[in-house]
Amino acid sequence: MDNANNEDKKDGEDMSTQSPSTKSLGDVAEKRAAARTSGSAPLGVGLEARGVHAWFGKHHALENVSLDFSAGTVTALIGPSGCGKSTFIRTLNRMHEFIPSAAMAGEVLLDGKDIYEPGIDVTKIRLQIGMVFQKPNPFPSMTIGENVLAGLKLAQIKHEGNKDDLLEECLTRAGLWTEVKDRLGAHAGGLSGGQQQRLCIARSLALKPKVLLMDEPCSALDPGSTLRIEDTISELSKSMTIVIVTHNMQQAARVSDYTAFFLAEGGPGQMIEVGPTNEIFSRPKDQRTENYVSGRFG
Amino acid sequence: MSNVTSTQVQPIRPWAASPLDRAITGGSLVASALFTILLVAVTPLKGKLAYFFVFFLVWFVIDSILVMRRYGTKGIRDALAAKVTLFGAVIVMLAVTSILWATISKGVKGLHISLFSQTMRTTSFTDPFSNGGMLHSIIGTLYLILIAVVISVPMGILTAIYLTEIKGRAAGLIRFLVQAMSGVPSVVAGLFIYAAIILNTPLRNSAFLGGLALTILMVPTVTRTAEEVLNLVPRDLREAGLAMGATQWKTVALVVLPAARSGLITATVLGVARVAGETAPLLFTVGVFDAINPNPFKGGSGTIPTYIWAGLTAGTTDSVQRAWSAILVLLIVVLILFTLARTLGNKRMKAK
Repeated sequence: MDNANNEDKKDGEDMSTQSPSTKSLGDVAEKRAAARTSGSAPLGVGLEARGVHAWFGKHHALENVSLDFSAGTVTALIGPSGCGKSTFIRTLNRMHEFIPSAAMAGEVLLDGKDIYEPGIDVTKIRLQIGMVFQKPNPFPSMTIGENVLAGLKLAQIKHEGNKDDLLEECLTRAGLWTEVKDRLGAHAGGLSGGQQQRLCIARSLALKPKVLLMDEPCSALDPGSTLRIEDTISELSKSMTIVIVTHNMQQAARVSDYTAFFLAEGGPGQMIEVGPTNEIFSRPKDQRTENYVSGRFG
Repeated sequence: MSNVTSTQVQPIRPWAASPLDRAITGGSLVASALFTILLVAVTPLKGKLAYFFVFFLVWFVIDSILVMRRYGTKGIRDALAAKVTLFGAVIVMLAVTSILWATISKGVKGLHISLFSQTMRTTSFTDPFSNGGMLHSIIGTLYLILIAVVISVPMGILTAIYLTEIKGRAAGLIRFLVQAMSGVPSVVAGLFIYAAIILNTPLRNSAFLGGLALTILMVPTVTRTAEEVLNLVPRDLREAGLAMGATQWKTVALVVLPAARSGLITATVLGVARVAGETAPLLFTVGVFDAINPNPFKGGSGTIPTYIWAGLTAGTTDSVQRAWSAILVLLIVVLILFTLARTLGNKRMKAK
């Protein structure tokens, strides 16, 4: 429901200021692209989706999506509600299979190896491909500090070195350290929504993932918290590959290097177009992408 | 000064009852009371309950008429619904408080130190109630509850985990069986243990067998409550655990169960409440015993319910007094157990 509302609002806004909006989105993306190329060489590990389909029972939700996420880039997935973006992102770390009746086809290659290969250890895959969810979901029974380190216990991995250092490092990278350093023993439920979401990011970072998937991480947050999270994403993108689903096109323009546009036209969701973010927002090749990013959608 | 106060905005409650409203409510209550007294006086109706029911009926009518005059037919439906719910609540309250009142007023007379320090080893139920005590029964009941909790809480919670987390093929069948089990009359649980164990093995009456009988009664309550509670844990939390490379077992143990902790304690408390006062299943699994038996696996044991039963069946003033005091003691023991469970369970949560 939230998404639908968000989207309505978004569309409405863009409708009123059509051409300036498109232009400014393009500008924002242009600026970001310029900033990125001047930076150092990207790190991380690439992820490739090859002909991914997804079904829920008989419902064909996603059709033949092939996408490359090269190492150290941020890719935004945009598109209207129900177009399969979230379904797609969940196939990338095998969370899709937790929905009863779910099925899929295709390959997802992490470092050239298919994560759906029979006999592969799924928990190891999810350690390397972390996920941040739409609604902040810190573990309610744990303190802030315990939440950050929860992954070590949950995934049963031994951390060599000082746990306090890891705690500080993760919280700092998630942009939360200064706000919580004096109350690491307090329960996570006392934090604001934005802080909780950054805590969830810190929690994922503790496992040192190579890829971070974010499923609308800011849709439940206020603009201030959203900006903080976007800063965090920019910071993290220096050392890992990030895929972010968003309904906020401004956000896609601000944080991503590449943008993929998804659309479901009555049938299963498809990927319509992918390209560098500045091109998608300023000179999209497909008319439907143009309609969507300029707010003329529907 | 007056100038300042007059410019200040005074908080008011325009939605609160006006003096006229209050007068009408008060008037209708007084009128109903008077009318009730009159009606009970001139008709053959008698007793407290007659007053109670007649008063409610008269008040229904009088107040409804007044409400209708002020707010029309729409208001009357609202007022009627409010009165019916109030009526229900008052009846339940009356029943509960009169039970409590009877227990306390009759039981408190027989409460004295020896009740908690002595047994019935050298005393008969018909002796003056200042002799002897029920220490053996309290210990026996605590044994029984402990045994039942130790067996049925893990069983119940594991079953609930199977139903909510694993959702295996047998989930539907198990859920049906658990529901059917919760309808088993308590005497059947005792009979089952008697027929299955006492008749077929060398084991004879003991607190352990009584605990097993109580387990049969307790498991369905614990399972069903625990299932409801686990279902309330948001899906998001499970996915968060799984997305961090945890196995399902680790997610359940470290995320789901701690999140449902307070609810699981409630499940245990409800289970204990279900079995603490059971008498029938104990009669042929534990038996009646008049001294402390420290071994729960061998020999009969005193229990509070059988103590009450023995006191009532003996039939003299003293023995009945013992029974009432024992009921009060049972109430107190259960209350202490519940408070203990709550405080222990919430200890960590308080850090919040």
